[in-house]
Amino acid sequence: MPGAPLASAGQRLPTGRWLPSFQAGELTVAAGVCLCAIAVADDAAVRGSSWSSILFWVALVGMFAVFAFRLLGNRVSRREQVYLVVLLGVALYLVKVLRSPEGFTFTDEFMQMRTAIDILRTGHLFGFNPLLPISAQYPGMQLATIGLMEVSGLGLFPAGLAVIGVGHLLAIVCLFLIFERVTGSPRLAALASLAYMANPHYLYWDSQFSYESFALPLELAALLLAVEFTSAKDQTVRSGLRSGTTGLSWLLAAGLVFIAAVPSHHVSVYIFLGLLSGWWLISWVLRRLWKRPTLGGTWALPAVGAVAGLVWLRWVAPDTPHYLGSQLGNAVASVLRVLTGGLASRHLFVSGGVVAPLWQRLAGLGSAVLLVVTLPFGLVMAWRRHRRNALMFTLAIAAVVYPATLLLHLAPQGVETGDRAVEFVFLGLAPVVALVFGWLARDGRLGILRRSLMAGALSGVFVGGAVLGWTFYLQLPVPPSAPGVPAVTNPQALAAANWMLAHLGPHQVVATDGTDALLVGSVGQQNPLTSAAGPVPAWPILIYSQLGQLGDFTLQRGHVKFIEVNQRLTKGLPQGANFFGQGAPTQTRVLPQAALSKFAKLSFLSRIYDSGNIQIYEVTRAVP
Amino acid sequence: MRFRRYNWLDPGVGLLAVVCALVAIGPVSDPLRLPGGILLALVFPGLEAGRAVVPDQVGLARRLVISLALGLAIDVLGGVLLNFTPAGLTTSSWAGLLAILAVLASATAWWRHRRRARPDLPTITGPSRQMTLAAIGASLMALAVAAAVVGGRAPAGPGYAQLWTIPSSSSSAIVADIGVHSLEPTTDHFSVVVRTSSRTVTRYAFELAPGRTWTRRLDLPQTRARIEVLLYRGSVSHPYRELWLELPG
Repeated sequence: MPGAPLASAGQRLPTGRWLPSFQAGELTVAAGVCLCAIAVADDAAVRGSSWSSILFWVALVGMFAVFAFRLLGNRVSRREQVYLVVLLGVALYLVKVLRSPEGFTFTDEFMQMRTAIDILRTGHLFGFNPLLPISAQYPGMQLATIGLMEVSGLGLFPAGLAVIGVGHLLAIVCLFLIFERVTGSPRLAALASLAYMANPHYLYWDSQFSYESFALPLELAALLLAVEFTSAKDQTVRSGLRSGTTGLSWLLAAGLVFIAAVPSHHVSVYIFLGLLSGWWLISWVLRRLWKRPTLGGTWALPAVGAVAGLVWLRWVAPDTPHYLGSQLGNAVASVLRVLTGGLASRHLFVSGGVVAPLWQRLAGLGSAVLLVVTLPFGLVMAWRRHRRNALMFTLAIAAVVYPATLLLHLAPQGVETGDRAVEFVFLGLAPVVALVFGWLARDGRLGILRRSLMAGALSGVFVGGAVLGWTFYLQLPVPPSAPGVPAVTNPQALAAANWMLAHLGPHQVVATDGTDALLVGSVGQQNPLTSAAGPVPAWPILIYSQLGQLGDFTLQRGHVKFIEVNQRLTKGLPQGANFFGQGAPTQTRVLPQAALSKFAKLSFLSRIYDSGNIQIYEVTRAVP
Repeated sequence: MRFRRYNWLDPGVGLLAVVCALVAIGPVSDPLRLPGGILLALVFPGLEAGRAVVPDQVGLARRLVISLALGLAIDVLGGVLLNFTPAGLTTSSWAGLLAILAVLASATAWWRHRRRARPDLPTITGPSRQMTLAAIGASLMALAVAAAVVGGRAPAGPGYAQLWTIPSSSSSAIVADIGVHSLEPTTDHFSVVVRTSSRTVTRYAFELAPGRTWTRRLDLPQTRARIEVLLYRGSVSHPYRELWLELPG
């Protein structure tokens, strides 16, 4: 193996006599049992059972806790550590698969689906995606999925699951190997991998069919391959032997993989470019201070990535600066207004006017507090043990950003930016936290109570992250007939989208609410009027009791051909600020029935479809 | 050059990639298409590219990373390349590209491996208690997923029926296609009534089983009018579904 020899690498250690010999086999069975329990809980949740949530969380925490307990032990071979970390990563991916086993159900998944469907239909890239226009300019994930579909005959959903699953597997192996190089210990690498799995996005967000979930594993792989390159270089320097071709081979592979990440996602590529550049810069500074830092960064990879990124930005994805700029600008402005008292801070753990259960609030806060408290100790340990290690230095700086991402959650429009940053910040935070846990568990004959407490603490961080990462009432599947909010899993809405494609053909302009627009735009292949892509948003047509001048203007300016209304809009409050997306007024009251029944009185509309909850109107004449 | 023990691997993978590509462009119903396609898209090009770029023994975990990462990278960059060809992204172009890349990579890997040690292959020891337990655990995981997928998730629910009418006009006539699709839990008796503001034009009565569709084509008057299409279910006098067409005349 190239690079520095790793402590206990490849070693097989006997199991301690003073503990039950729970090893990889037993833990695989435990993971299987827990996943079966989660499958039962998800099924019960769809049927509206009240105990489903308890079963789900007990099984999920139980699975994480037994793995943490085993990996905290000192007498675990490296092979078993790698196996357990990978197994847990795969099992957590399957939790998402079990939540939506029949099709994509997450908002971003529908948006990405539209890009894939357009590529399949036309055989070419860069079409128009009305749900998320920028997605069409970053089709990397869709290409991998479509490649698999074309040669295997798989459908879009199973092929998407397979591609994201492969990415998930790739990411967790990369994380373990990166952390192993950084800390020099497979045990600390295993603990750091567990800490990374506690990031709020790991359970659901990074498992969904979305371009970031696909690009992140590629970027982690590029980072690992760069680490292997620099590690091989360190080895050459230490041994005094001439460098072979292997070092450059690693770099070549890293460059190729990073270039493939560029057409896959925007912001994660820029963040990794920053990380790689920072790593190189810190190595340069450390070389001045200590002559010979270990794991020094290379300029070549960020240079290749920057060139590829600029080429893609200039010739393929010119909308990226505007898209990212508006999101970042809103977040910064929102934070500044909260800090200056111009805007009330956001209520934490509240969504759609509903407050999360007490235990979830406590777990979320407790997890964040534990990480913030652990951080300074971990930083001191990183300084003492690894200050000549340029990569650890870089990751420790990334870890310092963690408290700032928590503050972003207080600003109404900063929460998304804060959320999006966590999987990158945890790349630094995880090894720093692992140093502390590794130190606390340093005793070779760690008592069962102490080990249980530490496994409990790690599991607490994991649960806190999981509840922070996903709206609490969507953590389990929602019954299709749940009162109030429209759900994308609603069979009637799905049937209407399928009907539109079959009877109206694709690419009709449709005015509808935000949730139904996801189905209409993906499954139905229509062009829903959205604030993201249309000349005007659809909400003025749907929100008022009378169409009015604004509604008339929207119908004409948007060239609306069909209007789809969902009666469930009048039966509850929205999960977010409103049912209609960005720019629409905040809804504090339930939508009046008149807002939807007004269409029956308009002589230029024909009602052409009715399934009870869903009606579709056609604009048959010019608006008078 | 002396033929070494593991030199079969790269040419063998290259050959298999070509076979998988031929299966992929062959009949859709070929049972080998699914496993062959998965190997061709996710395994062979990445494995061989990884062995070509990094020929040394690097351990199983690192070999897995190189193979998977390069495999996905080839899919992405290959797809971008195909987009700019006249063929575009089709089954044949994908199969051809992936097979060519796999063969080129396997040839390079074979050349670079000709004097090297054995590849990073997992060491399989005989069955043990741990391996048996791991197999049981993996089966339980597969069972959980299979039960969720095969068992179906959506509960029966109250059921519903879709009613639609789509007008179309030619130079000689205006017609409307009327359809009813039942997703009720049981077979139901339905009737469709078509009427103008002053009179009932026609009435259809029929039974529909769950999942079945009823359709009719209807001639419409070429004058300005409002045509109502009402669906009744069972003996209930109130319309179950209600549509109308505003005819411009």
